[in-house]
Amino acid sequence: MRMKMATLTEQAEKLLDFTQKLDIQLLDNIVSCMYTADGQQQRMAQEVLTTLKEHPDAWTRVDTILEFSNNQQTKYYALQILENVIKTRWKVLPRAQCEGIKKYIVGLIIKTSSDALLLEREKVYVGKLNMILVQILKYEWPRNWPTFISDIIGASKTNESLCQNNMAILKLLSEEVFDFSSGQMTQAKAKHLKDTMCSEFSQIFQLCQFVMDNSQNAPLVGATLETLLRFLNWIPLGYIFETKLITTLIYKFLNVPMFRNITMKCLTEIAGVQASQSYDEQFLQLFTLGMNQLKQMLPLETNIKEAYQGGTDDEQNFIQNLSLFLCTFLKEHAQLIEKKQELNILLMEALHYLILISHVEEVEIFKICLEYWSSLASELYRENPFSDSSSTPLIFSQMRSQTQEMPVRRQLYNPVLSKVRLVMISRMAKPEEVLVVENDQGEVVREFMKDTDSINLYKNMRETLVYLTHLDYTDTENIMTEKLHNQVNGTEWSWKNLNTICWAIGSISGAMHEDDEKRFLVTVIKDLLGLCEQKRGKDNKAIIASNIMYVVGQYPRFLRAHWRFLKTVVNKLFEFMHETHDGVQDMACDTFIKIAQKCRRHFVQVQVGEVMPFIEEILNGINTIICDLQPQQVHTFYEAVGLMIGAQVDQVAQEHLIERYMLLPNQVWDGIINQATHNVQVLKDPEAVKQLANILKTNVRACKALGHPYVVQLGRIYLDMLNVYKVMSENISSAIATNGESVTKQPLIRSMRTVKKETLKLISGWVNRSNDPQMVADNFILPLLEAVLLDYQRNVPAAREPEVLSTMATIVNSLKSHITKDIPQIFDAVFECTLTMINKDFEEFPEHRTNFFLLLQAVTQHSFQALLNIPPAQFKLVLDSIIWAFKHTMRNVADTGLDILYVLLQNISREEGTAQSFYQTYFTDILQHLFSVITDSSHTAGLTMQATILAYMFNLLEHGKITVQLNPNMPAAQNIVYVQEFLLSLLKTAFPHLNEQQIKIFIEGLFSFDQECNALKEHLRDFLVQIREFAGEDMDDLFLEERENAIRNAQDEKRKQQLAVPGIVGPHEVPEEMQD
Amino acid sequence: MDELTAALAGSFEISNEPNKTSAPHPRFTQYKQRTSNSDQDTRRKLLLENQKNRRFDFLNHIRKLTDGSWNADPKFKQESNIDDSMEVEEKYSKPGRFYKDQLMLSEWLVEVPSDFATEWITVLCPVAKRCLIVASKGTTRAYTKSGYCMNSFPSHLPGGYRKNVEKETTILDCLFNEATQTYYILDLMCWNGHTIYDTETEFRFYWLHEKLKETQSLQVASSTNPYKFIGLPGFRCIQEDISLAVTSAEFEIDGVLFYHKRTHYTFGSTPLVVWLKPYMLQEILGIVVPDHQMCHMPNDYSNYADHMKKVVEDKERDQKKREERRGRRRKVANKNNSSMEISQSEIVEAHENVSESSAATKIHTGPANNI
Repeated sequence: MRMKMATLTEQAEKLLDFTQKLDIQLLDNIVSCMYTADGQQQRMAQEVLTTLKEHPDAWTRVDTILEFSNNQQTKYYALQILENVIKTRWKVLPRAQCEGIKKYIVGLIIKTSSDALLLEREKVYVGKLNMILVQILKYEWPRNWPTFISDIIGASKTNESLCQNNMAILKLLSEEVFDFSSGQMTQAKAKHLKDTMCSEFSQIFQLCQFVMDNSQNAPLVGATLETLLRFLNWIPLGYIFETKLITTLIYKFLNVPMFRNITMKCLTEIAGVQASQSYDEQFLQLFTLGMNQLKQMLPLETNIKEAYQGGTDDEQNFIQNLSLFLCTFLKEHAQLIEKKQELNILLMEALHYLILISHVEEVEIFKICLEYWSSLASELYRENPFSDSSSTPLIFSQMRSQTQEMPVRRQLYNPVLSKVRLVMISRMAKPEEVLVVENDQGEVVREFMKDTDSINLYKNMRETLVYLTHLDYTDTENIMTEKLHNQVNGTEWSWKNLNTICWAIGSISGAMHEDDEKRFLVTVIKDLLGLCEQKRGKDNKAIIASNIMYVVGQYPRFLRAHWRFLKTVVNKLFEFMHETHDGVQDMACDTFIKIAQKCRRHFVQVQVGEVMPFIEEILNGINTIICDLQPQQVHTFYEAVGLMIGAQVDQVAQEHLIERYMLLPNQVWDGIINQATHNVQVLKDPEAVKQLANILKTNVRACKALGHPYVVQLGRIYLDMLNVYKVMSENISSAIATNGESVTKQPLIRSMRTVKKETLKLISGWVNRSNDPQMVADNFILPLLEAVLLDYQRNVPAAREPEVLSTMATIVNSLKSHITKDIPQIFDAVFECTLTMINKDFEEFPEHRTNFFLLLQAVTQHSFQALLNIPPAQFKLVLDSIIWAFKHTMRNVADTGLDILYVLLQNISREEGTAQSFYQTYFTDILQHLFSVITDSSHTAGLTMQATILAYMFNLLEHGKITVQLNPNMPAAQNIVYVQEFLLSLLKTAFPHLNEQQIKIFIEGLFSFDQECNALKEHLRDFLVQIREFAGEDMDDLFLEERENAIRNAQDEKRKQQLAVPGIVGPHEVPEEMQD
Repeated sequence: MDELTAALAGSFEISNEPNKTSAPHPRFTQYKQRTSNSDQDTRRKLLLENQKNRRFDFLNHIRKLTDGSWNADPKFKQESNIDDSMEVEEKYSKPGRFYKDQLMLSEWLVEVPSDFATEWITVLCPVAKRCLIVASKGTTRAYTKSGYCMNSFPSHLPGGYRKNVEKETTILDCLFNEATQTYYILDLMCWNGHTIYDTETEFRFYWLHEKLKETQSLQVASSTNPYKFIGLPGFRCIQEDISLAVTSAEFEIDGVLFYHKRTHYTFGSTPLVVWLKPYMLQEILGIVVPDHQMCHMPNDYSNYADHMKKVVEDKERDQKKREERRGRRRKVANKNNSSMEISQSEIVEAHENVSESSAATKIHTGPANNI
């Protein structure tokens, strides 16, 4: 083995020696080694191949490899080398070589594609060749190869299989130019290619038409249709509507099974065209012919849902394409059809198809239909936003029907809408998703998902059903009631169906008039209660119960109007909190907090027939209510009760409630604190630590619910809590000191950290919700800083809580100028020690990193004065940190960095004195660093913000806001010139392969576009494209001239705008003719 | 609307356990429970009868509790199907899977049993969380009713901490008071590997207190026994004894449990253990309770008679409303029908009809005579 490896290295050297003849056999061996061997050997092979590929002369070997190698993978590898050289170095290759490569590839393509069998066999290989040809075309066509289109058209007529491949090439070219050009070509170049393609399109179209009319060769026709599909979104409309294209597609290809999918896609593309009225006839024709053809292919009575389930891939695709066609057409042109009475039947049939397709159990297809139904329902509603009310007394509705007929369109669609309602109700998606995950502290927690596919589907369906309900809510109600009856009588009973119908019922909360809603809900709940009683088994009962509670929780308006019912629901939830069946306790707690959020006031008021507010009763029995809950559920419960107490507006009454509310956790808390005052060792006891963490979590939830008024409880435990924090810190530090950093993974240390983290979370949560910054600053900040800062500074990095930084950030954000005087203290403690943790690389301590910059952002934004007051050396450190931030590839950090810089620049421009010395020291420095990220393709995500900052900086320059000399050797008036020169030399050094002209135009553009961020962004993007290509001497296809024109236009435009505002342009710059 | 509220309060439930303590006491609720069960006494008799024939492999069950492994136990697959049958004969709750439903739970004391004074034992419960304690292999774990492990710690229970040489198992039914860091022991199911699930209450209580006497260190908090374990005493079910116990209790009483002397330790709720809140004692047993133990009384609770009056008033008001509504609809209600509804003699429903207040009074005074 070792022997073999040694020879491998030796042989590799032979491959890389370009003075020797290439040993094809050897290369084949290494390639197959790369694909089949493993471990060390494979790594070696890969290394050799990569080195070879990167060798500047590698491409000279390509022809030999392609000709003599018998290994398909080796050939593919050779083509990669070629593609690489074309993409980056084409412009610096000698012309003769370019011609050579071009001819070679064309020849190869013709040779391989002329034989139908060979073409089929070598499909992948030819595909790669085609791609390389298109890459060449992007440079050569049209200037160096003006006859390309006629060449390829001419060649196509010689041989059907060649023609088939040429279609593929045209398709690729169309995609490269029209679909994927952004970011790959400069804008000017893309435009040029598009124009050329449009102007030469007639030849291509003729070829396509010829093939479609005459060819009997199925693969060729298929390829032609595929190519046509790519063209349809950009070709001039005349080709579509003033030729017989539509009829050909429908009559000749739609009913041929082999072509129906691609034809359907073409028709969809046409249906999506937004044209002026001049083509109305053609659209009508497309619809009538298409529908008539479809009815023969797919009879209207087909059960599409079943057909889909049992169908082949091809048939399933057809259903999907059909749905796309119908939805696209109807969305764009339905109004046209509606106007023609005689077409109404056909329209109904089209809608009938869509209804059938909407029942197909494939969510992607359903989403297509849903989008249409949603737009139809909202359109019909907005057109005439009056619900058809059934609760209006008879007289009124009669009066209305005399004066106000149902709108015509609604009449037309009414029968269909009822079926759509049924679809929405019987397919309603899941409204919420809960994930059970383990967090950093090793605790299992439940997370409510906000943005999943299913939740978005629910939102869309809900919206649609709400519109549909407004359009006719008696119908919605009837369908729902019937569906529910089918659960009760067993015909449709299943957990899934029950959930679905209940989600649907819950989704239309608020859409009905209150009285109707009440009547409806009463029957719904009655039915569900009956169902619950009727079904056997805890599993069944638990599902039904959670559905009842879901429905009830969705209708807070109903609950608020019926106190006795609300109270009973809540008591029932308390009962369920003792239920041991899986999930029932969670359901009870979740519903309880949901109700608390929406009905909180009702629990603190004395209700009719009651002696005192219900909250009193809850607090009386709180022990019993929560005694069977898990800690997490207890936390939810506390938050819910906190919300209720938060609704008490009387401060004294509220404080009294809070005291009773926190009684239980405070008892335990006091117990532990008392023990700890006698013997601090208690705080090392795992049980005590765990309990403290648990109590703090309860407090966090209480604070979240109560907001500022939580202050009474916070004040009670504040100092003890900070002392506990200090003790925990000392314990952790000394544990690390004796046992090393690995000790932080121990359960006890982890729960001690949880105590620290929860303490910080509690404080920052409250500060964030507090409404009296002065009071907070006076009473709470000093002890906090004492307890937290020194500890952070002195601790080993692994034991520093990142939450300290985020807490400080929250404090600065909330207290703003009230905290300015404390900033130096905060910075002294956290700044340098955190910076040394994160300035070694871009990855370690990600949370500290994020939070550190968030703190910097907060200070820059809200306590800018504090930054101005720190000594210059430290200020430089701050600025370096900001620059360090935006150099991160961690997206959030880089964004924060750019954001801080922008705010800093804006803030400093308001400080006249400081600003100038700031510019003098840092302006070009910042520019330099900005450009280093702008030209780095891994930072393109931040391009918008980068462009914004650049624009701001150039604006400063242009408007003479910088009055100091940026260059000690040049007067301040020459600052612009200086910066331009500075950038020129900077970019020239960084990108020696670009030529000076290119860079100059780029720099000029920066100034011209500095009014308009989007244009500047595009300008930067173009430059990024250019950086990737070696320009060489030939610059014609960089379209520098076009670019120069565009830049000049932008400059003129800018000037015109400035002239329009009196005084913007200085008196000496105003052109002559305007002076009198 | 009231009808709906009543339906929700009354018949809406997941586990079909009569007189369950998580729901309001059937005598004091305004809403009629629709599930009518045979009365507690009859069920008790049947249960005690069945207890003789019952066979269950407790040793194997304890192995599962200590090892935490329930695999390959086919019995649990049909668990959900059997717990719902109405018949008492079949209604032997199976022990739960994974530490859930392992405790013997009470029902409300609805009617005072005739053998109350002779066959029952009273236990006062402090305000606390109910839990199952399993001590084995050197750790002690506490599980909630629903099987969640809320804590694990060392204890001086046999098997409960590492230096405890006995590698045996102890299983207790406890109440945990967080504020005082104390586990109050209600019942003993297994001590040092010796299983007593299938013995009568009297014996279990006796055994518990004997064992506790032998292990005094359990009652003191220490680093190897961080939580105190204190046995709850049993009292005779005689008015004076209960009264004395209540007045001299050193903790806040959550409620009072009454154990039937002959019952084995079973899983889930049973009428052979019944429960009252302190504020119900006077009402049902005629025992005066000191004020400081009455603080969790609901706002609208006064006493049974008042309560009944209130219920009747509510009923009348509802009735009036209903009639008004009917009147509006011009459909004269057939009053005979509506009064038919409420002529059942079941005690639980007594308060629903004024004419039966005498029956209620009889029941009301009944218990006091028994004591």
